[in-house]
Amino acid sequence: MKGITLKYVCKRLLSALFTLWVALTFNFLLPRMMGGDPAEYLASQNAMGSAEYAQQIREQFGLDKGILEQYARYLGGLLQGDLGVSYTNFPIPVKDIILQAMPWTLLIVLISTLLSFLIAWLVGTVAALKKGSLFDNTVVGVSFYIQSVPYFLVAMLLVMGLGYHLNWFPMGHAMTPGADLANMGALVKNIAYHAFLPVLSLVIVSLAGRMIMMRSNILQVFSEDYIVLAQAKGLRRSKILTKYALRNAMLPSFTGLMLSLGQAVGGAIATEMIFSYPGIGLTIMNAVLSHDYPLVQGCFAIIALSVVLLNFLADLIYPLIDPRVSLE
Amino acid sequence: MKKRGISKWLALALAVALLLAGCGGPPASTSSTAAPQESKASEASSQTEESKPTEEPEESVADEPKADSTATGGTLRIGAYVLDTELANKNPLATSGTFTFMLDRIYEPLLTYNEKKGELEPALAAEYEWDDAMTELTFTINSDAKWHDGTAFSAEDVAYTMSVLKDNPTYDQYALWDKLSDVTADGDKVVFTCKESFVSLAQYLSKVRIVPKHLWEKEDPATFTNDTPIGTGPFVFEKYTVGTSIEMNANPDYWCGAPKVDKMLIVMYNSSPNCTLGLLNGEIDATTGTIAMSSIPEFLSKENAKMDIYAGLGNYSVIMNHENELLADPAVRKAMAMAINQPELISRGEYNGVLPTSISWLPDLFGDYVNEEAKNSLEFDLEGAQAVLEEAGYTKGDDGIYQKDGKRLSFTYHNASGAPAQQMEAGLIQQWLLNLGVEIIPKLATWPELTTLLQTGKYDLLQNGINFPPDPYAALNSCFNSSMTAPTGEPTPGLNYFRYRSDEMDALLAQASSETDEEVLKDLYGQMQDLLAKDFVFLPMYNSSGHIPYYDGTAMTGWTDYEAPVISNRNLINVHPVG
Repeated sequence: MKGITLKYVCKRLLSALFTLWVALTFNFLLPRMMGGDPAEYLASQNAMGSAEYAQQIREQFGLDKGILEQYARYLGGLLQGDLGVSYTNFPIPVKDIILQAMPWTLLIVLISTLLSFLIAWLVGTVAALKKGSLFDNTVVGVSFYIQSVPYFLVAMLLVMGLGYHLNWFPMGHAMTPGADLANMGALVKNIAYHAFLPVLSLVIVSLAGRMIMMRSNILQVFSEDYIVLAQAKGLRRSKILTKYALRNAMLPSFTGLMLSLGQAVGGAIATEMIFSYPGIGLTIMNAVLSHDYPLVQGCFAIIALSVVLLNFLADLIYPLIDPRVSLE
Repeated sequence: MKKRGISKWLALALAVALLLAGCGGPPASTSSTAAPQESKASEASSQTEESKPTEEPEESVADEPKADSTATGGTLRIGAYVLDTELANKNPLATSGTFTFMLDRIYEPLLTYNEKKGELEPALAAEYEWDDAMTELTFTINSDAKWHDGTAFSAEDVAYTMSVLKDNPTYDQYALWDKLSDVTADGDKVVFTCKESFVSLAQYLSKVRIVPKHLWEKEDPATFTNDTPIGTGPFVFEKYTVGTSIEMNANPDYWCGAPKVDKMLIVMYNSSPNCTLGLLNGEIDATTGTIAMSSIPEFLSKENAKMDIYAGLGNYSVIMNHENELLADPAVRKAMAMAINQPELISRGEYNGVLPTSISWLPDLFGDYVNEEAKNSLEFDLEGAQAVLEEAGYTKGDDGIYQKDGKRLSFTYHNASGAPAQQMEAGLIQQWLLNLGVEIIPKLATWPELTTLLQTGKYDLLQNGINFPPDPYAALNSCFNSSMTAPTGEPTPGLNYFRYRSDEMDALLAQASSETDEEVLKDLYGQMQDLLAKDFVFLPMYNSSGHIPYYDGTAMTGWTDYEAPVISNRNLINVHPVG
């Protein structure tokens, strides 16, 4: 573990914790700054706008307490791993709601993120090596085209084309409604079949940018002096690529991967809506719309935590793959 | 103008339908006899390969001979726009965040409110009787009803449910215990004692689902999430799969007759367009009311497709703040109401999938209480509207906006952001008001923000819906009694967001609150509706109606054997496979 000192780790850890605290505080303040009172809203929807009913709701949720006391309770709860109780889905704990949605989000978002980076790295590298060829021109052209198409359009075209008209894939859901899937193999197959279109849509739209980035990174590295030197010394192209160029060209992409993985827990709202797929994205959107403070806070806390955590991990891994990162 | 508008939209809808049909979609034009099997089969294959060998038990039709000759068995597939968060809590007493369609198939109230007939019908109570003073309501319970676990339903369950409401005020959404003093079970009777006469108690009880005492008394009802719901209704909860479906079995012992299907599968969709696509594709036999309104023409062009439209307990309108000095003038309100082309609003904004809000407020579900004359008194008449303003002394300025004493008719107009239909309808209404000569300053806000604006009166015009219970008195009292409002800046104690104050209305409401004679009440409500129609309190839009799309005769039929909404328990038990 050459290069990683305790001081470096402590510094990174402290900065991560500070970032987390700032994020969590904004998390607490932002929903309360939206305007509109959740208790009054519930009362106007369900109880003829009764002021007494609104007051009972406020007491039930602790909204009658001062803002500082609410903040203290919120931070105190977080330290004990308690994310509170949802307003609109009272008395369901926020933790349960998140735990239920998270596996599906992670399934499609993680798989599509990893796949998209993998494909982007491969295709981008090949395109860079064959710069100016038909393959390179096609890749770059198609990438720019796809990059400019909005995600929801891609997803809807997939649903309408491959789902509705051709019937090759289901138009939605994580598995077949009402199917008896007691057999583990059948269950996995069924889930994979249903996840195909959502994953495909996410890969398609995220691929282009990453591919172009990888291609230009490689091209840039290849123009560096040390590569020219290696070429002049007669090293084989494949050796230059694997031994020197790739490692440096991957660095920016690696940061991108870590960030994407951290953001994965935020889900993909459009994917969930268009493919009627369960997940955390829609949960967040609906919580925001109905001013369900604890649910909003809980979801964003998880997102903040995972982004900070993966950044911290990236900080730890980075010196190992790039010793130039100064540790002092 | 109106005609041209409609035909243009019809033509567009037709074009879209043709385009879709031409794109080689699933066979929309299969003959009616072959359709059911075909669509079932293609649906199975579209879902998964696995489900092919295990054919749905459609063949078991002849298994159980029923009294009549209709086919039975099979699975009824209902699509619902429902989120997983709404399935986390299956407590039927919770007032928000639950999936009510499912809960209403499992749990029943003492009486159900039939929105089509506008009257109460027996459910867990076989009959009920008031004493002369209307302070004591006695129910005789339905002795045929049984809980899904086999235990007999009893009057004790009713008394227990009411005691839970008493101990947990947030479950008692209509604050019934403010007016009740006692609920006691006595043999097969339950007696509700009120502090004073409470004519509409029975209507309110149609909103209270009864829970089983023998299971609930072991739990803390305040936090009980009821993972395996046990009720008395026609369908028994079987299984819930996250993000996918809810499976329910027919209750063979249902007191009103066992459902003719074996199962009901509720297919979950987490957006309205996706649910609509599932419907258009024939994945489901009906929805719980979800359909993207713009897809109604395409849906209705399909074979056997029908819509069941009926009035609901809520009205959308443009709420006017009567404390605004210009809106305080009845002539201004009248002219604005006359300038709105309501039929075009409903056809262009909602594709005729809803019923109009009437200027006299009470929707058709209140049956005989609805004052038909007042209801139909408002008609779109732009020139007439301008004449009303001119008669009242307003003159059109150079900018085309009416004014009087140097004050221009200019108002802010709030509506919901992130709600495309609401935004489109706001655009139509704003244009009509501009045609009249009224300036509009559009503003957007989230739904909860709209509520706060309404409560504090910080708005001129605000487009929103108002929900009320199945009680004409509450629907009128909470919205139009001057005691239910507050001066601008202070929160209203009720739904009188209009800040409407009328001594005449207050007097009529006071009289109605203690009246027990049906005929007199009908007359009083009639007078109140006349008054509203004359005062132009709001700009009517449409009623938050039930609009249920269903296929009658493709896979399932028997939806409309009884006069009630197609997805009411009374009709769902009659739904059966074709053939």
